[in-house]
Amino acid sequence: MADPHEMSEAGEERGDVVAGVDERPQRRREWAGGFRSVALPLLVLAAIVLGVWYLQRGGEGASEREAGIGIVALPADKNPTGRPPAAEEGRAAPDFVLHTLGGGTIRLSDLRGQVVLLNFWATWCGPCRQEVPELVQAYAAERDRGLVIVAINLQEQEDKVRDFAEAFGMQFPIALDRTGEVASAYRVQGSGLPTSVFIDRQGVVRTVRYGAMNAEYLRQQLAALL
Amino acid sequence: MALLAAARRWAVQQEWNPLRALFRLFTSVRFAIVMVLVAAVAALLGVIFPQAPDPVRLNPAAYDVWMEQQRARYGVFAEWLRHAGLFEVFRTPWFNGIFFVLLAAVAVCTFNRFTPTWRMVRRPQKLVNDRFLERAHARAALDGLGDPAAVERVLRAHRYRVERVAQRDGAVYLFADRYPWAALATFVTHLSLILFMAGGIVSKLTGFSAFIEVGEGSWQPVFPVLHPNQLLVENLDSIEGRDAQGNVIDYRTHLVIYRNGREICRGTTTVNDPLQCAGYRFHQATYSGDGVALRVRDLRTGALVYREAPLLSRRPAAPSPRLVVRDANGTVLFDDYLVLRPLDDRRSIALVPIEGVQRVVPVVLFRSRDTDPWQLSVIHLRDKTNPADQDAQIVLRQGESGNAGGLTFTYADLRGLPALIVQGIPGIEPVALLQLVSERDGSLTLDVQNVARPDADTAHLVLRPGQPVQVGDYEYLFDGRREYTGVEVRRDPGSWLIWVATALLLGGLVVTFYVPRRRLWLKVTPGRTLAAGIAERTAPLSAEIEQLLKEARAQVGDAARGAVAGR
Repeated sequence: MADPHEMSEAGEERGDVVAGVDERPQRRREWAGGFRSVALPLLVLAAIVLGVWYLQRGGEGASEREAGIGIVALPADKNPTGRPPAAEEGRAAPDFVLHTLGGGTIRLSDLRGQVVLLNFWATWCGPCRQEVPELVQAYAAERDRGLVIVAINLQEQEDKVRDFAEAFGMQFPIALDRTGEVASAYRVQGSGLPTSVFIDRQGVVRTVRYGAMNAEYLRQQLAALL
Repeated sequence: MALLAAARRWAVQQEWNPLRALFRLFTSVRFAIVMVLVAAVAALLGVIFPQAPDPVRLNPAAYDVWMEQQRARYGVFAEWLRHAGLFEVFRTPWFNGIFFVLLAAVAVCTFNRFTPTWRMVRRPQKLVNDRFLERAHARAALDGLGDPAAVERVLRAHRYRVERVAQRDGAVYLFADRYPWAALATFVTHLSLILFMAGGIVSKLTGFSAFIEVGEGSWQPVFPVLHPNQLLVENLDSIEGRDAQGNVIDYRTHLVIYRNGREICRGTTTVNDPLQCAGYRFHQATYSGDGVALRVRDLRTGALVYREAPLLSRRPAAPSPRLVVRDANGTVLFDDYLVLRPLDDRRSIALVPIEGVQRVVPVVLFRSRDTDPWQLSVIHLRDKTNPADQDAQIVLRQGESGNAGGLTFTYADLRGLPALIVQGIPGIEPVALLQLVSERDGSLTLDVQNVARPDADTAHLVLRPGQPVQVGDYEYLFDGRREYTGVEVRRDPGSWLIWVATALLLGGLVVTFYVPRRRLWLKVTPGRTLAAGIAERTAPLSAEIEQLLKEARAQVGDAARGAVAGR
C-alpha cells in the first residue's frame, strides 16, 4: 500500500483544484511532442477522409475507352493548315474514328474531298429531334454534290438510336460517341446539343453552329461549301 | 531572406516550436468557438446568396445564362460575388478550409485527450491528502462509523469498485470507482463530430443532385450534355397506384439506367424506396399523367418529322366551361364542357352546335383581370328568316342562367383542361395549343388548335388515340397519354458516415449524461469517516456520499444490535 502523505504532496505539486485531484478538461490534453500531438492526429484524419473519398469514388466506375476509337492523330499530309487541328474556324478538323450504326467504323479524314457536316446530337435532345428532318432533306438534296453528313450520337444505347434513325429516315452515317471523347474535342461540353460543324473539302472547319438549324440556314451554309 | 532568417533566430531564441504553437491553437477552447462561429457565418452566406445548382455549375453555357440572372439582380456586384465564391459557397476552397481547420482542431484535441483520459480510467489517482477530503466540493463526514468493511459493502452494493489503498495511524484509506469507462464516452462524442464533418466534406466533394422529368417510353440524361460517365434514365412505365375506392395509394416507376450506351441497372423506384445504381439513388419525386404522345409523318417520304410527348400543364390549365342549353319546354339540347380557342390571354371562344334547333351559338369566356372570375358571354345571332327575331347577348356568371333566342343557357361549371402551347409541329406553325380532353365515356381526345392561323387546314384537329388524321402533306397521330415521372438523382457518399456519426453522438451523449462516472476517496478512522468525491457531471454528490455513509452506519448499527440480541 502507498503512503497517503506522499501521494498528497504529489497531488499538490500538480496544482490541483482542491489539493488532490486534477479534473479540469483542459489539463487532460498533454503535449507529447510534435509528431504524436499534432502530426499523427492529422495524418490519421487525412487517412480517414482520403480513404472514404477513394472508396466512394471507386463506386462510380470509369468510362471504358476502346483502343483505336475516338480522337486519332491527323496525318500531316491531310492537314493543309500547318497548325494543330482544333474545332475552330480556319483550323483542320480534329480527326477521329468511331463505330457506326451499321457495325463498321468511320474515320473523318477518310472523307477528305467531300463537304462534311458533323452533327452532334442525341435522341433525348428536343432541338436535335427538331432539326433532324432538315438534315434528312438536305442530305437527300445534296449528297450527289459531295455532301456527307455524319450524325455523331452522344453516349446513347445503339438500339434506341437505330429505332430513331429508321423512323426519321436518316440515311447518312450515324457514328456512336460512347465515351463522349470526340464531343469533348469538339467542345460540345460548353455549347450543348445540337452542335454542327461544317468542314470543307480540304478538311478545314468553316463554321461551327451551336443550337438547332433551320432549313434556310442549312441551305446557305452548304451553298457556300458545295 | 533576411526576414526569414531573423524569424528563425527569434524562434530559436524563444524556443518557439511551430507544432507546439499549432497544438496550443487547436486545443484552445476560444479558437474552437471562433472557428464554429466563422463556419456558421460562412454557411449563412451560402443560405443568403443563391447557389448555382450542380447541373448549371457543370455546364459552362448554362452557368453563363445563370450568371446573367445574377447580374440582373446584383448589378456590378455580381462579378465580385462570383469571384469571392459566394455563388458556390459550399464548394469554395475557403469554406472547405474552414471545415478542414475545424476538423483538424477536433482531431488534435481528441487525440491528445485520449492518453490522459485513458490513464485516468485505467490508473486513477487512488490516494488524496486529508486537505482534499476536508475541502473538496463534494464531501461528507460522519462520526462514529469506524468500520471500513461496512463502508466497502455498501459501496459495492451500489456498484462501486472498491479498493483499500492505504492504512496508517489507525486510518484506512479507500478508493471507490463507478463506471470508469464512462469517461471515454466523450471520445465517442468527439469521434461523431469528426465523422459528421468528414461526411459533410465527402458529400460536398463527390456528392451530386439533379432533377429530371422523364415521360413513359423516353429517356433523359442525368448530367448536362456531356459527362465521361453519362447516365441515361429510361422510363418504362409510370404507375399511379390506386385502391379499390380509387384513392391514390402510391406512385412507382419502372426504370432502366444506361451508362455510355449500355444497360447497367433495371428496377422500380418509389417515393420511399429509390432505385440504387452505380452509387446513385433514383428517387420518385413527382408524377404527372398529362403527357401526350404526338407523331407527325410526312406523307411524301413516309418518314417521321415529329415525335414528341409534351407534358401539358394544369397550372395554368385551359379553362373549360360547362354549358347546358334547354328549349322552352325544359328539354336539354346540349350539356357538355367546351373546348375553347384562345383569342388572347383573357378571352376564348367556341362555336357550339345545338342539335335539334340547327343552330350554332358563339360563346366567349372572358375576364377583365387575371383575378376576376371567368364569365360566359352567349351570343344569339338572329334568324334572318324570322323578322321578329333579334340579335341578343347574355353574360353569365358561373351558376347563372339566361335566355336568348328562345333557349335557356346555363353556365353550370368551370374546369381546367391540361394544356400547352407548343412550337414546331409541322403544318401547324408557328404555335399550336394542345388541350387534353377527357370525354364523358372515359376516352381521351387531343384537341390541337392552330392559334395563329385559324383559317388554315390545320386550324382545329381533334385527335383520338391511335386514329391518324391526314391534313395536307402530313399525317397526325395521337399516340395516347404518357405519364411522366420526376426523378431526383442523388449521390450522397457521405450519408453513411452521417448515420454512423448520429448513432455515435447519441450513444456518447447518453453515456455522458446518464452513466456518470463517480470516484470516491474515503478515510475511515474509529471515530470519524471522511469522504470526498468527484462526479463527471454536476450532481448532488455530497448528498449521495452522505447517504452512502449513513447506509454504512446503519449496517454497523444493525450488526451491533444483532450482536447484542444474540448475546
